[in-house]
Amino acid sequence: MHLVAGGDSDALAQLFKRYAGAVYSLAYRMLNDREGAEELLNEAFVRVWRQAPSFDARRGKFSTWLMSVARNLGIDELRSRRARPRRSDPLTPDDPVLDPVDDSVDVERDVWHAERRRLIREALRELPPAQREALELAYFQGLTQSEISARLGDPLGTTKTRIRLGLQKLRDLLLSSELGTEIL
Amino acid sequence: MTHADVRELIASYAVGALEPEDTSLVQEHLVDCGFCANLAREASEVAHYLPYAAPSREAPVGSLERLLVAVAGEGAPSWAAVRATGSRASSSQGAWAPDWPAAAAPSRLAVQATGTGKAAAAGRSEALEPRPGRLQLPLSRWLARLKTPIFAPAAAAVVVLLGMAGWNMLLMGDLKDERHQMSTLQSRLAQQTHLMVMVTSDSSVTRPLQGTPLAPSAEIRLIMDGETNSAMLMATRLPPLPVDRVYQVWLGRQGARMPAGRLVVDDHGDGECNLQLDGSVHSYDSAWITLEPAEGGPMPNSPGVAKGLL
Repeated sequence: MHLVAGGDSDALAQLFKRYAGAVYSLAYRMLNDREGAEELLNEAFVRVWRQAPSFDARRGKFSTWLMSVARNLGIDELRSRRARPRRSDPLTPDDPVLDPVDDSVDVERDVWHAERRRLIREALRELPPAQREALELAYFQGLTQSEISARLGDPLGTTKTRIRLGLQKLRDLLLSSELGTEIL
Repeated sequence: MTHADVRELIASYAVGALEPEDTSLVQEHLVDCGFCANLAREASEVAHYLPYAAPSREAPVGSLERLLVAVAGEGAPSWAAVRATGSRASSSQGAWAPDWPAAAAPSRLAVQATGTGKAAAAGRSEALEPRPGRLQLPLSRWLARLKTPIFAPAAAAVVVLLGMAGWNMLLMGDLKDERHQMSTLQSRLAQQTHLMVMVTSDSSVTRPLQGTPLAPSAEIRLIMDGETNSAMLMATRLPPLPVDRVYQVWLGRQGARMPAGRLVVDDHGDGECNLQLDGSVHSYDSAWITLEPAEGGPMPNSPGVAKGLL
């Protein structure tokens, strides 16, 4: 990031090569359309370029910051879409141009990132479905707990409890996995 | 807002699911309450893993080129640009965002960036377009002149001089490399001497760290000397380091963890390093080694290759 802050576009390209897959995956998961996800990917890294001088590694990991930038862009876009007609139709499973997602072949070049992805997805799968759904609606759809309650037809207290218990259980599962040394 | 209220909301806060007014109340509480702030930190650490639950996809072909065109149109990063972006902070920022740089702005900017990028691309392609008749003709004339008997010896002398200059630069580069290697060896020798002194000291204790499945054959010893309040780590047979990566040592105390040193290993996976302490050497209860970028970091970014209780 020091190099990027100094205007080194090669350094930016290196960061892009390392993290673009993760950002694009998150963007696609949130927006469910290729064009929007690609725009978000581009904008997230333009933000990296613009804000590199103010990045302080002592305050947190670059990857955490980058993913939060991407997620916030995604939430803005989702809120904008909810307020206006869709700009483009989402891809459906019948769409012939849909990228096939093969869980058995992870396209991450970094083996550890692939392993991390597998561990997190496994942990999420172990959550009770209602807890997982509440967490996913909050994180990937940017819904507030009130909006989640309305969407699922549950009392607000139930939604709060599901999010709390879901995150706690997810933490316990990750702590007992190989990710435990990261979280401890 | 009471501790109980905050604890009820802390998970929703961490995943950004609170309404703005609740977010403000929780944030006000966290400023003054270290206990709840710690709970919020723990919850946020887990939430930060959620993006990796998205099914994996590769970035579209050409997206890097598009980005580079876009930033070429932006110019070099500057604090002015940071402030400008910060002033366009997004509506989602209030709900959930890390504390450091401003996170997001309305995504219409992506469209702007695209437009700027296309304009920049057009400008760049125009700039790179060869202009026939301006460069090619004079160059061919010069090449023709160099073939004449008068210019041939001078051209040969220039070629020889350039060759010697290049050779000289290569030699200087080799010399610089050798000096660097010598300096590295001297530094390592000094560390090993220090290590020998520590190991033979009556006041030192040695604790092993266990290699994880990522480094099953590694042997690691952490030597702590209470008399001099110093610690060193000695490792053998760690996996070779990828380019631009180092092993980072972490020391733990009562659940907190702090970076204590970077460990560079040789081709055999052997290395040693002094550890930085912020208290009594015997106040630490655990140690880890993780693989990190060369500049290190405040938090582990990879799985541990070794760990142990002290």
